[in-house]
Amino acid sequence: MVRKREFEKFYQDNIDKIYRFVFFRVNRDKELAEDLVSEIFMKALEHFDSYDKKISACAWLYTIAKNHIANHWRDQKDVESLPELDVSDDEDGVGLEDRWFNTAMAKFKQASDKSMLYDVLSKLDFEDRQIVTFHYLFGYNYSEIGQMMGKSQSAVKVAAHRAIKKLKKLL
Amino acid sequence: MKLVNYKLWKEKKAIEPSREFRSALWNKLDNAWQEIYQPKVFWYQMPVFKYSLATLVVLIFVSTTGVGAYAYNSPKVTEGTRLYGIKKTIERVEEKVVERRRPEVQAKFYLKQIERREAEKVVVERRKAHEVQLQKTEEKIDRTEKQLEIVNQALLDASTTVKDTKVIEQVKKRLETRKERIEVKIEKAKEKSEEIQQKLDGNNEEIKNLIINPQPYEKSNHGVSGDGSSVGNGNASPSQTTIEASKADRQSAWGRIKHIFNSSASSSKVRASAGVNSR
Repeated sequence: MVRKREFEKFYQDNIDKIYRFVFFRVNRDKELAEDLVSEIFMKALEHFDSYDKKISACAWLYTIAKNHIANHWRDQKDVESLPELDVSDDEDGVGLEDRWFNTAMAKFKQASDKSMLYDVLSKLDFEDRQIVTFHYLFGYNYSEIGQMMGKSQSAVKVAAHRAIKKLKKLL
Repeated sequence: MKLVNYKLWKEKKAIEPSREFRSALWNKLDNAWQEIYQPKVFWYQMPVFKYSLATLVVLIFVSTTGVGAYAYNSPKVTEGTRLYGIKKTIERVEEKVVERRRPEVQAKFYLKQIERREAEKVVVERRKAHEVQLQKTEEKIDRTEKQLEIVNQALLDASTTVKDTKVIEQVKKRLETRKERIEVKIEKAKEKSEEIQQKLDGNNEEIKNLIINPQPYEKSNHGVSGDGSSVGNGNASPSQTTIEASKADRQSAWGRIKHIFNSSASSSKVRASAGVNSR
């Protein structure tokens, strides 16, 4: 039987991170982000009893969120801000990630001083950028990022440190 | 580096779900949880039954494993202690149960009970030793109070130089209580000495009576019948039995006199310890 307290803890631990993750991928659309986050947690609740506890809860929820957002964009054919995407790029999710980031950035650039930070972020390679955004913007810790990316915690830590150094130089 | 971190941190803080959204989403999830995972509630899981059952379980647990078991098994629970009633009740119930069983079981039960009583006896004796300890402690208090009296005298002597009036007040209070206690003690000692004196007077009368009017043979209980013949030794001559009887009687009389003198000596000791002169 699913324990409610367990689920509540899971919710409290992940709501902020998932919200930020979704928020970035819906072009900072607050309302849309809230709708998607609700749907993601509903899905998580439905499958919470079958969730394998050997996997990190963050990684599990991240997978749900990623798939859900992908489904959302596929369903929304009339989205203006999304650039054209080559389907072959999307096989490993890298293409989608890039596209979301670029569209989000296009929006941020309009918001004056923040644009510089995102300009610099866009100059990092995909992996570095992902690590930096996941750790510094979404709030995931190194171990969680490692589980999501299939890397060790120390490798993520080193990569984050290097990425921040690069950012510093670029700024 | 710090600037980059700060900018990222600032951006992170800017992107947070609102409190309203959080609580609304949790309510929605909570309702959904009820619908999806609502377990079937059985009658014994209902709150009323749940709590009454819990109380019952606690009561049984306490009576079987806690206080009751302790009271029944511990030799420290002796007459006068609070749990002795529980112990006796359990024993009574056990006795009622045992009464209907085989004599062997009954014997075992009574043997066990004797063992328990003996263990209690040991504990009671130990407690008596504690009473001695208590008396010693009281004596120590007395000694300390005497010291305090001396200190009080010194304080009174130097009353012009002492500034702390609180201390003097405290000492006075303490000494007053001591005075009261001593008065009570003296009163008790007087009563006791009077009692002893009365006993002594009575005993002196008895001694006088014994010396002036020696008791006849029939009053002494040494195997001699009222008519002077021996009951235990049928072959002895009447004169022989008379001599033996008179000897025994004298011995008993002297024993009684010794006893009275001893008691009078002990009473004088008591009076001396109480510091009161007997009449």
